[in-house]
Amino acid sequence: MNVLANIVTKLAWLVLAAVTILVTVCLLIGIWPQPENDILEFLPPEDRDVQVFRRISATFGGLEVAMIGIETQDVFEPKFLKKLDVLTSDLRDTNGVDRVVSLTNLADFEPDKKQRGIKAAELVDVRQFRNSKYRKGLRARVLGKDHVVGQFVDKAGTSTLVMCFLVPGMNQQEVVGRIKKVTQEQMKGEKLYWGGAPFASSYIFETTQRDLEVLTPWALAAIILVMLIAFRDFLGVVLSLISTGVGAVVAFSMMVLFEVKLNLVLSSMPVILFAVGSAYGIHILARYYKLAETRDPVKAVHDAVVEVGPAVLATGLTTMAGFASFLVMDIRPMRLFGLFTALGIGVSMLTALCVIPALLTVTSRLRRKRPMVTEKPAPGWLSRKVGTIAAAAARRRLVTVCVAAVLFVTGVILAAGVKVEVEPSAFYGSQSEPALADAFFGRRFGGSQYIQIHIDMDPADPVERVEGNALEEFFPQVRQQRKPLIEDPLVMREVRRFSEKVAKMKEISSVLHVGLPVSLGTEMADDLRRIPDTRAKVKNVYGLVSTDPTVNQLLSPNHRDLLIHIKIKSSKLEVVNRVLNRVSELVRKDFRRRLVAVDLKKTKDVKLRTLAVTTLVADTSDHVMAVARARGCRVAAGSRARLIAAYRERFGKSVAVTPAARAGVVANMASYLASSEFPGGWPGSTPDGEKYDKKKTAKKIAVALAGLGPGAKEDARDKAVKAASVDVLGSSKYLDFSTFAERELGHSWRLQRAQQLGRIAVRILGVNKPTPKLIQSLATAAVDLDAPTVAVVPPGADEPKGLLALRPTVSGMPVVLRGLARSVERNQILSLIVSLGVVFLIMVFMFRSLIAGVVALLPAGLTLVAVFGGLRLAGRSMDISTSMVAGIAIGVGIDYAIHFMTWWKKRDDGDWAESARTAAQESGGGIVANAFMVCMGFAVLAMGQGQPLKVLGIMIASSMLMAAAITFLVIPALAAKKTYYRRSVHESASAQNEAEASALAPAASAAPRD
Amino acid sequence: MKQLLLVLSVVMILLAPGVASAAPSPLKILQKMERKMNAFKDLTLKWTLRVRHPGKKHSAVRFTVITRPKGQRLVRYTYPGDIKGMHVLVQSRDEMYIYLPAFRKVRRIAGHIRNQGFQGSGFTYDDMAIAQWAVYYNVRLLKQTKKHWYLSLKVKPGKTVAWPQQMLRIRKDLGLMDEIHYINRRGRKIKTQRFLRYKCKSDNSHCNPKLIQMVEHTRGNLVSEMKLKGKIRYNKGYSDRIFSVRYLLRSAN
Repeated sequence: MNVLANIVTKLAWLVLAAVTILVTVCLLIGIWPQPENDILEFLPPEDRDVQVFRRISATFGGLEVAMIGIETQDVFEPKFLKKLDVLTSDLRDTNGVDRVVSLTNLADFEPDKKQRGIKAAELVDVRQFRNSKYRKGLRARVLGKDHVVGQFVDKAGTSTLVMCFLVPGMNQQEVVGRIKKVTQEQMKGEKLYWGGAPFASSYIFETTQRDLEVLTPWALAAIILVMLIAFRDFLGVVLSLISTGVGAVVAFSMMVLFEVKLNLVLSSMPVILFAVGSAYGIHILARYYKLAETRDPVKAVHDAVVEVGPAVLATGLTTMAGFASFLVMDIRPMRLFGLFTALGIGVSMLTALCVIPALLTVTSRLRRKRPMVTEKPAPGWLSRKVGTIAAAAARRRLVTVCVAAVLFVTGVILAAGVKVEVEPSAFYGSQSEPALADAFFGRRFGGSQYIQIHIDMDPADPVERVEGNALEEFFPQVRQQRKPLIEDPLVMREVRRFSEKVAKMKEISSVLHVGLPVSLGTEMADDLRRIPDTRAKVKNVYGLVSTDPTVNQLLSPNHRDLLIHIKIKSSKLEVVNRVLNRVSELVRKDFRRRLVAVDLKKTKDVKLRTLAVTTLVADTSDHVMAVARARGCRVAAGSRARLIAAYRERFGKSVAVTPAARAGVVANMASYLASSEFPGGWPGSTPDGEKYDKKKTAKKIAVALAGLGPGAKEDARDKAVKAASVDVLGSSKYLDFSTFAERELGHSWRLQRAQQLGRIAVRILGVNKPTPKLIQSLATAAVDLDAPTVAVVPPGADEPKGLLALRPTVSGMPVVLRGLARSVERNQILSLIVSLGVVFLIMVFMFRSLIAGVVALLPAGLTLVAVFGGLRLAGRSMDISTSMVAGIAIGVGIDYAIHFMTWWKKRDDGDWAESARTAAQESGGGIVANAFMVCMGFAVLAMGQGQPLKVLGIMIASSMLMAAAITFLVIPALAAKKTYYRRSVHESASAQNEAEASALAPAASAAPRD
Repeated sequence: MKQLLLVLSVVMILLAPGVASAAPSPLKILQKMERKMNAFKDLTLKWTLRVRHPGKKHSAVRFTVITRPKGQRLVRYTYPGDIKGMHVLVQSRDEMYIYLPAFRKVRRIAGHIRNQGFQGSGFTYDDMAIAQWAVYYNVRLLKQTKKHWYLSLKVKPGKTVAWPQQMLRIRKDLGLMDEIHYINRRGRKIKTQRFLRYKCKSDNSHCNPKLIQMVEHTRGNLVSEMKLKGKIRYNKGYSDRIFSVRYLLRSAN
């Protein structure tokens, strides 16, 4: 330190020039790093759950869905719907918005009056609002759609949802801003809610940035105010700020140089640097003032560096160690925060040791000569109080130690119970936009928390897949050879079966899977809302529905990954975690990962066929029951077994030809034959040139065909059609009619059988007064009983030919947050170990004693225990922001112990209390001032809206005060040595000082003026 | 006299550009373009549609279109597998049918689906179906250059179209447009369609672009492009039956 003191006093100009060059270079590099607005940067990249989540997000674009909730008096009010229609088109035309889905552009399938069957149209057609009948029927029609209610409109018809799919790669914050502006302009007077990842992350980023922009100047002002009050020296404060400013400039310019973006935690670095870094300069200055009273100013500078330099160096190093311990964390923004804050602290500390003394040397002639004091001034009020406390602690050592021990044990017990959980409320307050949106979606749309099950459908194993993908790059036609499994209806049914099983949980409000839009598409194509029986049909339906952006949330563009979205009713973490655990368990135990297709007609393996039939009957029964439940029916207890038995008995049998069934077939066939869907081509007149009644003839043919019963042969059909219509169609045309009618005739009997199976279900499930819609739904569900192929879990461990391998993984934000919590816990432990270890080593090195190292660590350790115990008492859990506290508290909190211990010297008369009083009075002012500076700086930050900053601010502010208080209590009580720090040069300087002081005048207080 | 001569010369100078650039009326330019665009009885084209999503593999769709001058179209998809064999029949602006080969059924499509991106691209069925503008839009000449006329189109009162405003850039040498700007009701340009590499019949009575690009400005300037494959086939003499629902059904059965 003597060498350093010589350099900064003898080569002051050189030191100042070097620092000026350094600052100039840094300013030329730039000190404004680019902002980082990706909240996901905080997720640990190595965590498996996070990796899966990121892959899913990239494939399905889930993080690019912004949801606008609109609460109004009546969604079906034409005026509102017109506004919604305009909003939908305006949002679609907004830069950065890829697609928009709302009530006014949702597709719907309705009976086609022109052509029979189903036609695709808008669910809400604003052009038809002039039609009063349309307007009146709209509410009932929309609220009757299962796939719309709870997804785009609430049951009461007072809230609606608009989904905006953002263009990937664009600045989300800007796009979100434009979306908000457009929506607020169009929806004046309506209550708006902003949900989804883009709004949430934009809110978190914006509030934190705003808080920092608004509060940082106030925090700095508070710090400067505390400094001015404590030291009452304007130039000294300016010099301290210069040293910290140099640290900040270097740290920020290094970020620019290495293209490190300014993330949310790094934004708080200026406050930390000014609060913590200013202390180094202050300690130098304080000592300088004291020495300058009795000696030449340059000599005073030299001696001040020699005396206080080691303590400043040690405190700087321990603080750097505290921040550098973040480098062991697996969260990149935290590592960067630790690295650059440590750098800033280090530079501030070096500047305080070099630049301030150099400046003092250079300006010593300019500084006002203080009058020689004639008597030693009495310690200030604060120093006296601190001295009294320390003396009392030293006097009642046993009591103090016992109380500290009890508090420590209690704190440890409490702190051990602190849960490590990361929940959304860790990022935003209860009245914030995202929280209000969460509450709205929970209230109106059955929840805002989702768990996702990702199913890897790629037929190839992961290794083969990598090779396959590489091959595809060069030979796109290879793709044709790898058929995606999800196009197999058996796989889709398995996904549906599992989804329906999950949906049975009472905490779950809905489960969305790709089977739902495919069923809707099939309804349009084939009149029945079900999963088709063949791969070709599934592919056809995909072609139909794949342009719908909501479908892209369920199925990847290459059809090799699919996602099941599970909506949870409650946002409470315990409920979400409970559901997550149960879903994970269900995936583990119940998901059929290995399937083999069994063709019921072709298979000769009796055992396999029996297994297939059992599986088919059970799965169909479960599906029918799930449909009944979804329709709000209460399923009678024990009905599953009875339904399985009934369906087992009906399995493989043909439709029961009853008069009702026959009438149903006649109605369907007559309608088909008379429609434009029938390709037969009715003649303009009879062969005799007479007019005829088409509908009447169609019915005659229908009656004739229905009379043949199911499975009629071609000859019989031809004869029947001939008998019924030869007089109208002529001698050859009837054959065309017979041929074209074959497919629909089979379909009609299948519908009748389904109706019969549906009625069986109604009876067994104990449904009172079933509506035709319910019977139709159950009948459609029961059609699966006639499926030609069944997927079963292959018996044994062998991998038979044609094995369908499905790989499910549970994901979603709750899983990611669980992963983040795991990471936080691990980071906390690691950073604590590293910071404690490094700080302990520094202490041992400084005090040359293991015991001294332990004693020095105690106040910071006790503070940590107390803070985390308090966290438990406050009912909060440890999360990403609280995990920063330990490192900072250790790194900064230890400083107080260092300063106190360097001043500790047992009096010759052995009076511990007076020794403690002296040490406290010498160091107390600086310690208290610094504690208040840090406390005030962070307390101001805690006044913002951003939740992470708030929690961090409160915890650091309180821990700093606590660390200071504990220092004055615990160290005097535990002090066991005569002195902890031996200054070789200091001794002489001090001796000289004291001699001079006694000869001339007592020294001015080294501590700040209280 | 001098003053009079001066005034006259100033007037002559001011009038000169107007006289030199006297253009046919914008409506005539538009009608002439429409006539040339529809100068065939039927037209068969094979297209490959590609959408270049940033950071993703481009998606491709192949289809054949048979077009008639009044806007009737039959689109037959050949790639990818999901939609192979699917047919779309556009009988008029308000009547569109889709044939699903696996189900062997024809279904009618109404409303917004026509205005949605075709296979994830910037092209909509409406964009592809429109071959007439003068019926729906009032036209105004915005400016002209040596090579182009710039027409501003605004929808006529009472007419319903997907885009209330359009701006057409028409090549003077061909009399055909090479750029359309689609403008929304707020006056913002949303999409730009470019018609490139025109190929004309030997008698120059009809030209067809071999490449059509659509740039969507609101989707990060996402580019979709339709590239012509194979020969342009004119006037194959397709009967009305080809453009009927029944034809679709019969060919299936």
